[in-house]
Amino acid sequence: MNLTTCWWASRRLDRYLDGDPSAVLSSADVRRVERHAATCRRCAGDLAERRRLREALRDLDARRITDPASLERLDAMAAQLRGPGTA
Amino acid sequence: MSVEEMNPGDQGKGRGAPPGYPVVDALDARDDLDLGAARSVSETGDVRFAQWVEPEIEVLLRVAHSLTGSWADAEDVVQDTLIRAYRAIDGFDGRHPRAWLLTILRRTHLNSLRRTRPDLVEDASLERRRPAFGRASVVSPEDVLDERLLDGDIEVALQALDPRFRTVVLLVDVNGLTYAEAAELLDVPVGTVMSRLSRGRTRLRKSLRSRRPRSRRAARDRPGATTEGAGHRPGHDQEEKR
Ligand SMILES: [Zn+2]
Repeated sequence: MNLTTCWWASRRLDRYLDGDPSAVLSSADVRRVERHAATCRRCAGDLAERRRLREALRDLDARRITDPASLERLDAMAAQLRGPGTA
Repeated sequence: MSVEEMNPGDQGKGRGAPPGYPVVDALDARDDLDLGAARSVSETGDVRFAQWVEPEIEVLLRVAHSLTGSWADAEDVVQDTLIRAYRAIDGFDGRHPRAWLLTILRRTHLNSLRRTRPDLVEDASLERRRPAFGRASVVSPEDVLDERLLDGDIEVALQALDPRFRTVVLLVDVNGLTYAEAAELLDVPVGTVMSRLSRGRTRLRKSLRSRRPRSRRAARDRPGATTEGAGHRPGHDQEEKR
């Protein structure tokens, strides 16, 4: 594989996966990353590993369930702050 | 540093607004947060509070958990945050409520640290910190993460991270904040969030790789549910060199 492209792509994999509004990849860059990952085993594996990590971290959020009683208390407090009949 | 400055994709909304959130600065004093004092908010303020603040309560709670490591502490911080937000609502223009709330949350958290762990926090902690890796001279929220929540490989790996990297990973990858929101919360530039995130993720991948060298699907399993028996998990050193 072309090492320059590899380097170029590997530096954009996070942004590619995140799609964060502060660091959007141009659609041309998105296509270039995808074309490269389709033909480069190393970057494809890298991408897959990053995806697995994202999923595992997302799972963690789902497992860290907020205490419903805590949320209820906070919601009640917010309602009390603004007074009844507002929302 | 306002969200607009950090987020070039969002121009148009932010013209002419002063950077930062001066309204929040007025709240810095360590006042007692009694509800009575908040009663001067207008009726419009009440409506805005319901509209802008209340939908964010759960996110605030999760983020506060990432900062404090405990649900009880998180609830306390969010309570104080809500009171401060309520008092400030009349001066808030409604742009980026989440970022605004995260700023209040950060200050509230620092204030509560100052109360409970004065040894860790100095006045300088509310000043803008320079985004130098590992060289902050004062303690920031991410240094005080809890050590209790350990279970599963990924939590172990997270716990082993430098707190600066860990907090950003928690905020962005676990809590789902945008780069700009995490930057606002931590009071660092977006570029710093991105580089910490990248380093944190790279270290996590490395350490998870060394824990489960050959199971390609392992990372999707429940943490802890490895295919290797606990008795013959290979040593990390030899796994590192693959
Ligand atoms: Zn490649």
